Amino acid sequence: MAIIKDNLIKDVWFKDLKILVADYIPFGRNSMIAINKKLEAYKKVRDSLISAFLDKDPGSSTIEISPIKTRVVLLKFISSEYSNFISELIYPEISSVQQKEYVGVSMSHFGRIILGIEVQSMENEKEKFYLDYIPRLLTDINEDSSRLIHDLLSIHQRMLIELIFGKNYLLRQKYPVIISQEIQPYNDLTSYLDGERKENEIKQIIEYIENYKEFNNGDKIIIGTQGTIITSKNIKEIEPVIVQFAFARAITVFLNNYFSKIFSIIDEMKQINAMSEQFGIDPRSFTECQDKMTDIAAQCTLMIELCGYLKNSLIDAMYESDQFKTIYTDRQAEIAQFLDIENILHSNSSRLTDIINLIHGLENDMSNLKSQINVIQEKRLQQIFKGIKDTAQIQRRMFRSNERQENKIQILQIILSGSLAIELLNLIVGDYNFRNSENYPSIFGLQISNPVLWFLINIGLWIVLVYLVIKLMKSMTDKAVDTQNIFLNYDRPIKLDNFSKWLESNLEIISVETEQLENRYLKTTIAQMLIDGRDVELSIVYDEKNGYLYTISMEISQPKTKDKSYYENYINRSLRQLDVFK
Amino acid sequence: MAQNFELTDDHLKLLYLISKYTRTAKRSFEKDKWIKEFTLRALIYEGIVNNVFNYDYSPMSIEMIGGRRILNISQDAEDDIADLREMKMLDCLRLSSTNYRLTNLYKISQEGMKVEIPTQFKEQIDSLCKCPKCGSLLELEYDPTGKDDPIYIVCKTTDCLFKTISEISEIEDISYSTEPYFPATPILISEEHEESKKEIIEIKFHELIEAQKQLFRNYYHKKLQGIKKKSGKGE
Repeated sequence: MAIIKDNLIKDVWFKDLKILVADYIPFGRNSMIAINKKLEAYKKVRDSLISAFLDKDPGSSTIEISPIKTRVVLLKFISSEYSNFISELIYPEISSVQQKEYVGVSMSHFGRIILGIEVQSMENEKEKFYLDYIPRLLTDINEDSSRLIHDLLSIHQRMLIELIFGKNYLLRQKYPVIISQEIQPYNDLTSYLDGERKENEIKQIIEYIENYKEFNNGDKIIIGTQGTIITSKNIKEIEPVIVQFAFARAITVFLNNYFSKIFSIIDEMKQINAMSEQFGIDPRSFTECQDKMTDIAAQCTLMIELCGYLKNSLIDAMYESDQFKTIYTDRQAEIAQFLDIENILHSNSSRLTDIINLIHGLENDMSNLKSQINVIQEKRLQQIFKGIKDTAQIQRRMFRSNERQENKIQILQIILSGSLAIELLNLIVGDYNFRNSENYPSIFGLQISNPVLWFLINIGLWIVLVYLVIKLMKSMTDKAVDTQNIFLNYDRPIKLDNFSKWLESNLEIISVETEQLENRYLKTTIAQMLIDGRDVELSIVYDEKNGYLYTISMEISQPKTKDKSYYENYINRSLRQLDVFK
Repeated sequence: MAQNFELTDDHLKLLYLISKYTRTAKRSFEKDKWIKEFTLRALIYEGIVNNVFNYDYSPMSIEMIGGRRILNISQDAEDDIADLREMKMLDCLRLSSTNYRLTNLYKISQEGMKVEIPTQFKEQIDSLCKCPKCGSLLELEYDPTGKDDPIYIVCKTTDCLFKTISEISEIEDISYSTEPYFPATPILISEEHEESKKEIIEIKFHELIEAQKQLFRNYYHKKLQGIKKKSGKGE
């Protein structure tokens, strides 16, 4: 026996209690085939345990799985049409509360799931099934049936369900119908609808009462927002009508949740919109925005897919309703008319049409938001490119300025070298003049009487010294500089095939980053190559979709003797060799 | 109408409970204070299990920001709240939360303030909603976006750290035994249908859907005629 903290006032009870729970699941014929396959429909033994657990380590010898699983015994099926089976949810026995739950499950290809139980005993009572216990039983059945269906569905179907019902998809609403031979203690329906305690008891199961009727033959129906109570002495005859009604209401429940989801997406889009205004302020907002947009786009795709499933299910349900309407018995027709099946289905169809419009609107909003974000992204990218270009220009200016400085220094070096050469020569030769033959300059015993020749010797020595000094300075500069950076700007169309060949044949790729815009697929490839025995790191920016090469930046380690143009020419030559440019 | 109702003990207790948590602004710069429906439901549940209210409760699926949760809700209390609203003793404000979920807020009205509450009822409600440590009003603390996070009843006074878990979300199990039940469903697919399906195997794939529809029409037509003949309605 359960320990219920409340002193339940058990006023109302049912006799011969059956519960039918209708659920809608996005289904197609292929899903039906997959389920029958999962149930091993064609095998001799049709009794199996199933679990939604995913084996993520197929190579392992053993596996540890939750003890909660579902036992399924298949009764009847047609591969792509339907499947009827008995299910039992197996829990480890840890509670003193005894629960034996065998559920009849009927699944059809258009998403109609009918779960049925016939209550044998409830809190040790076998005759009187008190209404107060039924909500607790329904809570159990609802969660257990969700778990069972979850175990049977494909990953994609689970994804669709989780999209609409969120994290607590196991607690999702379904539509229950309480079927009984009698409701006691009163015989007339109005006694239960007193607006006070009795009615509150009824509301525990079906919430707000929409409609009710007591038929001439004694059948009683109370339709609530969250369920329906039907009492009848001959339930078998009206069962197909009840099933149609319950399924129509299950679709309504699904549509309600679908509708809520649309608003939740609209809300998320508003958040993205607000976030897009923060791009200039919060640098993280752009990435966050892009992530959210991707997520919403994926959700919208699934929502559109769901519309397709819903449409097919409604067509099938309406077709079925039209067909069976013509063969109803008078009693069935009377019940069907009161339950308003046709109108519920038509209302669901109209709602679906409205939802499709909403979804298209949502798609348009999404597209606008995407364009808005792309414009911002383009601007952002333009700013980045402008920044890069400006930096490159500043660098070039600095290079030129440095070069000019170097040239000035070189001129000074030449002048100084000349002075030094003359001074050195004077030091070796000593004092001399060409007026007196005794004072002619002599080097290593060789007298030079011709002033022109002496001048040429001076100049020659000057040139040799300048050459040696420049060589020494350059060598010292090369040794002092570890790396040299070269920035090559192309902005040219390329032949992608040849460019790929160039990348593959010449470079060792280190990393690749792609940034996708509406029309551009910017790829930044960081790679390494050997040029003249030097390690050169290249950063190549190109559009891999439209075939444009934007820039190549080179970082050359210990460039030593080779100058900038050597590396530029090397890269350009190799690109031309493979006919990369258009 | 208001005069048709007679205030029960539970009505009075409920009115006093709501009055503890709400306030009507008397000047333009003051603010009204409302109690949220969820907080009220949790306090009522605590009142039921502590024998303050003479209500029943049962599990009910409630839509929250984080998804659905099953909570012990009292329909009797919901009905009494509706009674008090009809008697103009309670004001109700319908509010939309960030994700478009609608929620109700309640506040005692001027009419409700005039009602005399017996001291005995006041004491019972005070024992329910006042902190046992410091006597301040207890409040609810929970993460509305959480899936199965506990719902706490807390005292928010700075020095007092009173905190207890509300069992509103703990659904009591009952023992039961059930057998499978298969109601007669409208589609009764026969072997004949299964055989006729084989006929379309050779049909090209793009014609399959149309063929399926035709197949169903034929099947229903045959089925209809058979049933009509049996029931004497046939031609």
